[in-house]
Amino acid sequence: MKKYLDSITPFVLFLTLAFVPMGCVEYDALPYDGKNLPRLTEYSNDWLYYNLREDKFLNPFSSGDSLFRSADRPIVEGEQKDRLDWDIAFNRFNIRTNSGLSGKGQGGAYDMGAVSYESITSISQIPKQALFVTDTVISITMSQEQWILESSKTGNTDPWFDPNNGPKQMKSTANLLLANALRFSGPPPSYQPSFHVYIIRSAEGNRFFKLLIISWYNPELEIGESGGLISYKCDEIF
Amino acid sequence: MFRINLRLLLFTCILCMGFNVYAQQRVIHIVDEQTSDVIPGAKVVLLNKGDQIFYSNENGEVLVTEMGDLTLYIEAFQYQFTTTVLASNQDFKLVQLKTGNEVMDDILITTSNTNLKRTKDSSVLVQVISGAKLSESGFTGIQDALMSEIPGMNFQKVGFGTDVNVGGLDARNILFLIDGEKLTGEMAGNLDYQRFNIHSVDHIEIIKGASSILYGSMASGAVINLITKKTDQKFALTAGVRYGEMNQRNYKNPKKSDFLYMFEKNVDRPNLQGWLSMGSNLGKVTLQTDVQYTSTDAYYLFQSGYDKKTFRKNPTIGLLRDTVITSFIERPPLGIEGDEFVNVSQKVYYDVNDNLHFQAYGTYFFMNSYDLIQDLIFNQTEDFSGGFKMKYKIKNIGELSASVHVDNYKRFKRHERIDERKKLYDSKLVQPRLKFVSTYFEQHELTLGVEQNEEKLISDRFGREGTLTERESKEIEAFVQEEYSGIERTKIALGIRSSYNELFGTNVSPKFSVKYDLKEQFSFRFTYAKGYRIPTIKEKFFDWDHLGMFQIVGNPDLKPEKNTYFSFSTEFQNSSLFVNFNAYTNYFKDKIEGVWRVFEFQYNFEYQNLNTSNLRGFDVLGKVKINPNFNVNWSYSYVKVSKTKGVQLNTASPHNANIQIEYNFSRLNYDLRAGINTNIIGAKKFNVQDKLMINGKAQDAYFEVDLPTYTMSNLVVNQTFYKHYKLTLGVDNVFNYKPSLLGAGVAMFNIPATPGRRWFVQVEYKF
Repeated sequence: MKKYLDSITPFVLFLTLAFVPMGCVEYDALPYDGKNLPRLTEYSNDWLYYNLREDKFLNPFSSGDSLFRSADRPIVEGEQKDRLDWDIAFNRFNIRTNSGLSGKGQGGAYDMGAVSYESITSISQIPKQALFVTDTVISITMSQEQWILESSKTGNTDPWFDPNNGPKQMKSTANLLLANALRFSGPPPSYQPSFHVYIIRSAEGNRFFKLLIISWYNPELEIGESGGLISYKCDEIF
Repeated sequence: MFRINLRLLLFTCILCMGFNVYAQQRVIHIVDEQTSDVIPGAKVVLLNKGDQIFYSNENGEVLVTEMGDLTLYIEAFQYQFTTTVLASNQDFKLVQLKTGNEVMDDILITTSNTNLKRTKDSSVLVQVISGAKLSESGFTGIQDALMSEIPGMNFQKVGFGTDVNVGGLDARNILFLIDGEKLTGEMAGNLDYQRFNIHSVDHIEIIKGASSILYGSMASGAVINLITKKTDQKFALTAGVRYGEMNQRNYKNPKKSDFLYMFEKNVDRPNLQGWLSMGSNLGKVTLQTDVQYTSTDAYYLFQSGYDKKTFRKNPTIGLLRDTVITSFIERPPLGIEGDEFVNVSQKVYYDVNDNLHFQAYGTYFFMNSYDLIQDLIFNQTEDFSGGFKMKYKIKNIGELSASVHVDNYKRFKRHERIDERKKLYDSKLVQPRLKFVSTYFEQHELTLGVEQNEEKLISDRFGREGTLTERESKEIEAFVQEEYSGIERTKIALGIRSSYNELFGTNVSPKFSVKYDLKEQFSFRFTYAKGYRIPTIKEKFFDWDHLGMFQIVGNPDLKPEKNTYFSFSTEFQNSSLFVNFNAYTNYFKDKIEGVWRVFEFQYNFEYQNLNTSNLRGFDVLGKVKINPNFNVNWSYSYVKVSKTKGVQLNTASPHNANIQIEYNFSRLNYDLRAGINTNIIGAKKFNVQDKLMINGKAQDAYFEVDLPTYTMSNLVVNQTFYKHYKLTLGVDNVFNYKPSLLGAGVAMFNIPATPGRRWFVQVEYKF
């Protein structure tokens, strides 16, 4: 017994010492092969519209509340309802499809579940009885500027942010199914992707795209930035 | 003739064998000094023979076979420990033990001055936890150790790290020290408690109540001083490994192609700890090295259902009936971060002669904290501390000690995909100290000291632009204390500390304590002390805008927080029971608290001097030896915290208790110790500031948080083979307690972070 125990002594010593260098940080992840939104969207109705069919953003440079048209804001809030040149839109972690209350298109979203992105290759994999979810009313975060503007009309001086209830909310439209693609909670602020693969139906209703939201952050994020250039993968399936 | 010679030979052989037997069986006989009663179950450690442990039998005898000079350490329940030598020419040693009257493990402590003194003789109540006990308990950090010993002490993992509170006090009133030296790098008063290497600890001293006279600012509630090991052997080595069941597996097979590959690997680190403690006493020079590595995995706590806030009726704000507000969104899981850290410390002692001693020391701490927020960032912490100490005994006049202690703590954010990091926080502490202790006059012990605290903090939260800005704070402090033992059975200590801060001026804190031994079995202590806490750099200068949502704002006009502490304690013992009772009151004035203030369109979290806050309570500690194998230790704590304007803001639980049951069994080359330790945290009720819409208008209101009683138990079985090999098996949270409520507001600071029942195994080798 004693002999056996003596033989494990070097093993215990080795294990103890072996742990010390384990504190090193190793950067061995493969390069990112997905896409990123071109800009950060702001609170209130600042929607970034995306034409999946042409792989083109309609307003990649404009920012702020899209209530008013400007030179770099070719689409303003409300106008999107009658247009078919967009399929999907992003506002913070909210996502619209050209369907339901957001637009008159034939768009919508279907959840394929937590499957590998690469495994979805054909529209034949979409169940025949699949029901595409269309857009409806949701709450989004109102911008501080809009809150001050609206409050000034009523004389209300309540803060925009409440430590227990968060920032002020307002009604808008978006896709409830895609609300699960990237869920926000906090504090501290946390953006949790579902890692589900969603099928997005185009505005014209005849083309299909697979979408995977990977992260609220872009891989080149600078330390101290708050994110918003969402990392995602999106490809058409036939 | 032949026959006679044969008989003679046989007789000689038997005689020799007899001598041999007699020579191998050396007897240590242990008795009570006063009654001469034998003491069974006394623990005898052969200090110069690999710390071999023996226990006395029913006749109070220990039989040993080791030859040569034996240095003995002897301890027994309710007796004072002793050390003695069994000389090589002795085969019998009578050891008389004096009765002790301390509830604490009776070992040498370093309380108020450079001399070591026994807890029994201290005029201040000091609770001591021995390092050996910590090691046997299978704890991975001092947090677990302190929670198991101090009723009501809680370490909670929260958003910014770990938060400690005990008996109505939070981290800002509890001073943590290593070998009497302060640490910098606090966050709301809390340190990275991982910086304390549990395997390098010789013992922990806990002084409850205000001790600012000796330790300065922050010592207004309690002082926890970790005294580290210094070997007295030519070579000593302890090495061990601990493996614990994972808290939660979050990712099964992380792939290098995953966007969050590093994150996925980091949050699922194994629950591992390895340590090495090595010392060598080479005569004039003693070396002591301690290394520890630990990693733990991150996990989530879950709450089913929605948050509910109960507002009691308050006609003054228009709330005419009790109202329950249910959250419209589900409470998200609460992520408890994992971590990975390394502690390295090196000490060098140089004893020039009996009168002159030098010490140099340095420590390095490095930690990665892995939270469950998928933001491509994790926190990194780095700390260097070190110093130099000198002691010089000036004939029979006294002892002069000088020291310089420095500490530099840095915090970084590190990217998970790009090899870069950014410094956010850099705190430096320099503390030179000069102290003189005189015992020149009989029955008087006079302590004089002067020290300086210089702290500099660079942070990105002192300006709106988020740029790194430096702030500093400097204090010069002087103190004097006199201990008088000229009155029979009485010990009196009287002292005063004066502190000068360039921003707050002069602050004076007196202290008086007296200890009276009515009988050998009975003693009383009374303490009066003033404490103070100088506002931290953050409380004064913080200026941080949180994503435009709210601002945390420091207050340069803050005054030092002051408190007055009274305590009375007494001890009782008989042959099988020991009880210590300590009642206290702690009156705080100008207490510094962070409060939410509402401005037009903006919430601010601001620091203010609030009026008063009173803590009153008592602690009862007990120890029972049921038989030589069974020990029971228990403690109970009651605290009543005053309300502020009728609202209970303090989150202390009034009732808390600990109980430890130990079983010991010893045979040749085999020792067994099994113990179960239970912490009971009583129910608590407190209020949290909120905003309530009443008749279309937002009103300040408080909702009530009602948290139930919970218990946490740990079971540990230690087996020691051949005095060198220790195998420990244990289960944390035996009864699988999981909090069902995560709560709103500050409630989550009061929820125990536990994943449920988890087992662990630990192997240790001691040279």
